[in-house]
Amino acid sequence: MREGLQMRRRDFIRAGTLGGLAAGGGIGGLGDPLAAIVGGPGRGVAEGRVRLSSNENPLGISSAAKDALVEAIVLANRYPADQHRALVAKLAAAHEVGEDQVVLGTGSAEVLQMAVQAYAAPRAKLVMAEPTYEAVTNYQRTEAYELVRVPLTPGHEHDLDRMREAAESSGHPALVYLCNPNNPTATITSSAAIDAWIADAPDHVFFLSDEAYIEYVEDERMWSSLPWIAKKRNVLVVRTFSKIYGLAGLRIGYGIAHPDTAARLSDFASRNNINQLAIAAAGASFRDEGLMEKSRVVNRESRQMVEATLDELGLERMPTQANFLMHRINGDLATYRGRMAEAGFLVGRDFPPMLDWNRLSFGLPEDMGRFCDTLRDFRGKGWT
Amino acid sequence: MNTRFSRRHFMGSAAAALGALGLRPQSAFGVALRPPPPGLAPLDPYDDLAKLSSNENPYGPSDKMMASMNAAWKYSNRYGYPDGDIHEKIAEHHGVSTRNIIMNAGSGETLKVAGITFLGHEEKVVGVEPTYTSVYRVASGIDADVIARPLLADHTQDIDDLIKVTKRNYRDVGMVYVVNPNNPTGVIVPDSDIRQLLDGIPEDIPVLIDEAYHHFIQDPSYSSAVKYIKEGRKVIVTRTFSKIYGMAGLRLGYGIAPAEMISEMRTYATGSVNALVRWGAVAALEDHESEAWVKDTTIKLREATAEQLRSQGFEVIPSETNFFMVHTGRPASEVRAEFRKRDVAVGRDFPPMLDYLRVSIGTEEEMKRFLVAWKEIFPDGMTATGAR
Repeated sequence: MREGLQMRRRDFIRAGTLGGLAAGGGIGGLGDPLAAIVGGPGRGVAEGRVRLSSNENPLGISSAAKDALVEAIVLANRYPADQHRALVAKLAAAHEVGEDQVVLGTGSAEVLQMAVQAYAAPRAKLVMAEPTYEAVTNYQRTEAYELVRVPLTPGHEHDLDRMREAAESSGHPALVYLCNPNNPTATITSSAAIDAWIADAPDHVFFLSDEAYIEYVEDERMWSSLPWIAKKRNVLVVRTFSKIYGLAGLRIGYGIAHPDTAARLSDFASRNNINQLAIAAAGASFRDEGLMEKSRVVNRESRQMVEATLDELGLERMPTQANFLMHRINGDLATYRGRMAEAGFLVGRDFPPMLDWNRLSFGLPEDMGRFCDTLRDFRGKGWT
Repeated sequence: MNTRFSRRHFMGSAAAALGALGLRPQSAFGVALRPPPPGLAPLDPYDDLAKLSSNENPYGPSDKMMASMNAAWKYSNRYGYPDGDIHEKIAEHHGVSTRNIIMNAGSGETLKVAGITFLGHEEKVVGVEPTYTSVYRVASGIDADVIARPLLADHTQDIDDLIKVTKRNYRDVGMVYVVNPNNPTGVIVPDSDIRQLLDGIPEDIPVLIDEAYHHFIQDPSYSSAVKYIKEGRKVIVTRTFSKIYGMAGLRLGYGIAPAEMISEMRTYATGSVNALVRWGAVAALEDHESEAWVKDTTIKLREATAEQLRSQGFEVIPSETNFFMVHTGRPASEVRAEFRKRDVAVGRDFPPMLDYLRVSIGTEEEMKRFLVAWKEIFPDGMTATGAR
């Protein structure tokens, strides 16, 4: 009986298009048919434009991650509970926390979403910087929170004094979103100052500490808020595999918190949320020093090239501690973005109120070289 | 063997690294014994199990799906990339607009999002018991209540009762939930009953209809509830690529509903669908041959297995899915432990049907192992066990 089943399966394979591939074998056999399936130009990458718009890692996934992904494809049909647990165990051990303190999400976005949904309450406030990463405002009916946006200080830090006033004044629950380094400015906020607030904050203030870009930080004034979770139920640290690890398209991030907080968040996680490929690639990438160092080196090279060009052109820029930076464009952002797209570069979206600045993600050095030439060309045309 | 074949051809650039694969020891069941992904703890006895516990498709994605995904790994580091227009293709598949479709990381996320959206103010959800409890868990997580009604004696869902209870609790009911065919029983709700339900309850109450096992159904009295969405009813239908398409591990499901309901639901969803599964799904929708093969093979194995059990005197609930329920006459938890000793994983408890066992349809090999184990666990058939 079994033999019969296998035979039928093999017949099926022969009947399908892969019959030819099996004979040809290898990448040569796959190349052409796949090009036909992909179907030429599509969105983003395939339009031939360089994506300097979404703070991705231009190096792509590491070869170890790729190999892990290939191995994991045999699990494509299996629900990922066991593999999920194994990755949680690995992350927990590395961060020296319990397995009940790590919550995986489909990107850090799902972890942010869990927190926003879990801590919604009547008359609760959501306190955040302006500008900052706006995702937390997306996941809840707006009436569930009173949204308080506090402009960054002139030094581009979170204005912790004003945020604290907003969060603590009413006595109602408050969710404080701290994106450090901040997106879109790539600037850091002093961790000593954040620690001082967390140490004194009442329990009804919940800190959502988004550390998506922490692996790029070189400035010693910033460190992780992670040590707090041993003592505080009201701190959630969020990390992602989408940035330095280069797995944005696979969808995996995680949160670390007190066990009670993690349990509360898990009520808002989707069942079996993380796919097998992301779990495998994340497991193979996590704290891969080679991958991280290479990413930092490439990022630094691109950053220095961009900084030098901006300085040469007299375009003001913010200090960056991430894989992107914010710079003046001397003009209208939508127009600038359109012209850049025509020149082959996708650049950052609007971050009100900074509408005469652009957020630029760092691509590969060779692409940034062409970008810098384009910027000089824009100057020649009087466009910036 | 197919799985191994496909992997060798998956991601061609890594093919060289996998050259040694053919030399690896093979299990007796045609699946490569493989090392765990680098960096993860070993998943000890997992590979040796006959996996009949989670209603998965044992064959995995078809070769066309694998080939399609093979092109997509290079987008792993991107948020934006060509994705085969999967959103549009799902919409086309159902003859609706993309505004009627929400894509999620498995239909589990769609169910969660629907729960949070329509039960968000501590409303009640009305449904049966046992059923797939994902929505009920979401409800308790957000302090909403669950009104779970018993099945009828023939294991069908009591539509008159659901209507009565919904009307009685009208002001508090946020949503009615129907799994069709029901999990864990495998029993369908006929289309006439669905229509009766929609006509019988106040029309402003959303009805969430989970059609995860839609593709396995043969009974002509069933029909998908998507047509009611086109009629403008407040119906949400969920579908998944985890079952007939064999991609439970890759996480893609979706909801179909009136545009304004989808729009409300989007508030609570993240961009959670990965690059590879999008491409796998594009191929899945076109690969009718594979779909038909999986359906046909699954049904043949289901009926053959059920027939064996019936011939030994056991009641098997007639199923329209890739699983069935059998009356064990003793606690399913005990039976499950016995199966586990024999390296066969079977379904979890589904209260209150605690003396029924849910068995997923695996490969022919796995079903043989199941039947051998069954004979050991129930050597005297139903007559003797029933007397215990």
